Amino acid sequence: MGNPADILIIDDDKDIVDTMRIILESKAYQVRAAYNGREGYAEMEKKVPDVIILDVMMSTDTEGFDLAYKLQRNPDYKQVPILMLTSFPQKMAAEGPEKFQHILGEEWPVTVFFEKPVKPEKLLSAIEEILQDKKG
Amino acid sequence: MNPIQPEINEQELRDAIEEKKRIIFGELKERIHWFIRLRWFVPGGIALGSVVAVLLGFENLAIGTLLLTAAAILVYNSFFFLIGRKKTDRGIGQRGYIRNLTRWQFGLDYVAILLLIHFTGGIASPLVFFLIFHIIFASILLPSRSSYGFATLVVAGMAVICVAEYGGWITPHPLVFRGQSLNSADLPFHVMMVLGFFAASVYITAFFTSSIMGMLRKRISNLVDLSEAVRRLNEKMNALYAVTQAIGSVKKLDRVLKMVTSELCQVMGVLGISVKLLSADGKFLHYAAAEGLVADVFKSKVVEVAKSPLNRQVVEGKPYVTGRVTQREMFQFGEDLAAANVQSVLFVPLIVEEKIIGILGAYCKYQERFSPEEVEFFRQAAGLVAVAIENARAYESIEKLMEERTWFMMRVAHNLRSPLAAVISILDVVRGGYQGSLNDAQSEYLRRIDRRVRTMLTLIDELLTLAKSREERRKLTFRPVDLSVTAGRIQRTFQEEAQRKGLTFEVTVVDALPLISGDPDMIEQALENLVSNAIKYTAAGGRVRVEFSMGSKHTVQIQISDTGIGIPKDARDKLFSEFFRAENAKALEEHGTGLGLAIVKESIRQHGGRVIVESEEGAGTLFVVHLPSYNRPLNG
Repeated sequence: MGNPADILIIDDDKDIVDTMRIILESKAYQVRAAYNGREGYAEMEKKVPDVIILDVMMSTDTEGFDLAYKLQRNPDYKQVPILMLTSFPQKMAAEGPEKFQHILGEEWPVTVFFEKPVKPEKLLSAIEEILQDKKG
Repeated sequence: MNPIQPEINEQELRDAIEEKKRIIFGELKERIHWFIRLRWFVPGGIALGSVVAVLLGFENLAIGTLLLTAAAILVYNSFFFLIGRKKTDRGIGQRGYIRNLTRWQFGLDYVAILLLIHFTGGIASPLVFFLIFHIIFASILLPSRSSYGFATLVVAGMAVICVAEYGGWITPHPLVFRGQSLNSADLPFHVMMVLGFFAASVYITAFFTSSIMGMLRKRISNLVDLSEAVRRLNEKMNALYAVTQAIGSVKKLDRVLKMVTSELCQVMGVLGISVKLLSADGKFLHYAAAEGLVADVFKSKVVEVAKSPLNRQVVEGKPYVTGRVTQREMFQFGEDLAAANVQSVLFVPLIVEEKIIGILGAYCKYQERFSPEEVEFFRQAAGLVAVAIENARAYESIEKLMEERTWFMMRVAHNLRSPLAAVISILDVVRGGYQGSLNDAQSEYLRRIDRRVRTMLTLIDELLTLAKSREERRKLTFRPVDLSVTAGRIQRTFQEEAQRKGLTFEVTVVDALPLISGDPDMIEQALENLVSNAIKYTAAGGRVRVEFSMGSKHTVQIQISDTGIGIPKDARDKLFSEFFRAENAKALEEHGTGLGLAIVKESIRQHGGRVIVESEEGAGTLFVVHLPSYNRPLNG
């Protein structure tokens, strides 16, 4: 890829960030990392990335969702695709309390939603697909 | 303060009286129509009587005049009949119409009968007795004053006929029978005697009949009152029943209150019903429901108990209070009540276990409304409403607890899974060769680590599933499962561990083992739990055997046997309960969740199978799992 895409990882789990960085950098992507929603937003303000990889539960249960909605309300960041990750079992989320279903039922600000752990190949192909869609 | 209101009150009273009159007049109307029907026979009777009289030998009869009178009766009765038919549905305004119709009928009847009497011998006419019938009818159909009036008319009419005949102003028509005639003009003393006693009879008849009728009318009106009271009572019972039903069936507080208040509003016939709930400190009352009132106005208001004397009296323990909105100092929001057209209120406490939890209020647009019966009913309703509120509150707190529990479990799941996800991610990076290539042995061991960690991940999910399935049976997506594949995996997973412990480990599968229907991961998880236990609790030199075979009648049987420590007799009953661990197992292995067998049992149960245990302490254990095969007949 002539012009390597810029990927912003926002996750409070350093091990996850490190391993994803290794996997993504192996494909020559530019990787930036932030360890909470606030830092993530600050990184956005520095430079708008091509893709965001975002964790759901950080210091609060819904920090990732909150950031995603915040970004969606900002016309500058609205177009940035979000790949959302969580250790939160999706099965539970689907059957969970109304509060959570309400969040999931709103206008969905996320492009792809994966349950952790994600296989390296799956992560890379998802990123590739997102970038392809963005170009097309 | 509002001069219109008392008038409305009076109007209501008048309506009630009007209603009663309507019913009584309905009765009267029936009888008048019956009277008209009866009158049809009169002209025929006159004609027949005339013919019979002539045949018997009466002479000198004014047949023509008699028949003319009969014809006149026929004409005016037809007229009344037509009017009566045309105006049957005139509603409340029919009172005057009925009275006039009756008066005209009696008037015309009197004229007719006096004419008949005159032409059949005056005071000596046998028709005189018919006048008594008329007095009876008049007393039945008209108020007593009118019946006396008609009695007087009758007596006066008779007197006029007698005097006129005696004085020769009109020609008498004495009855002549075979030459014998009775001319009353010849016997003035006799005429006076007859007239006197006739008058007495007429008045006495009028008196008796109208007295009896008065009593009857009162009885009718009492009956109407009584049936009305029964109807109201029935309505109230229904309302109470609806409240009782709401207690049992509706769980949400808002909905319970909405149902109960609207029901009460209707049955009490009041403007509005409110439910105010007392705050924990007893200082404030919040509107929880305000049926019939402008809900927005009231729901946002908070009543300060100290500022509202009426509410305070209830909170302080008065069994009920009533108040008029004109006593503005008794209310905190008197202006709003006046604006909502409320004139008087009734407040009763909502009591649960001798504690006042709030106030049930009724709001009426009349000043004086709440009778002791209504207050009593309202207090009884309040008892039920209080129970309904407590019930709904209890249910809501349980729901909240359940929700909190679910959230807690989700967080537990997240926190348990996060480190595993990180471990797997790191493993993926290492195994994926991102940090340099690995030799075959390294790859193999990392693969096993990966497998175990993933098993753990599944275990966490299953644990939560187990917990959830206790609340609601999970919907599993079943598919055909080849257990020989599962057997191979179990062999590979545990071979090394068994070897290291110095155990003989065998996994055998019969040929052509049927498929089973199920969730392969769940089955594997259950079997892994059993095999893992067998290895864990069998000492070196022992043997662990896993045999997959055909069971009886369309089942697959899996036996997991060991020569381990066995299960104490007293532990067998509790073996499959969560977090239970037998004493000898704890002694051997300090750590253990006590969840393994609970998951086994739940998983097998969800697959429609069963698990049996046989064991002897110190000699070994045998678990037998039966699972229904995939293509078993439905009735099998």
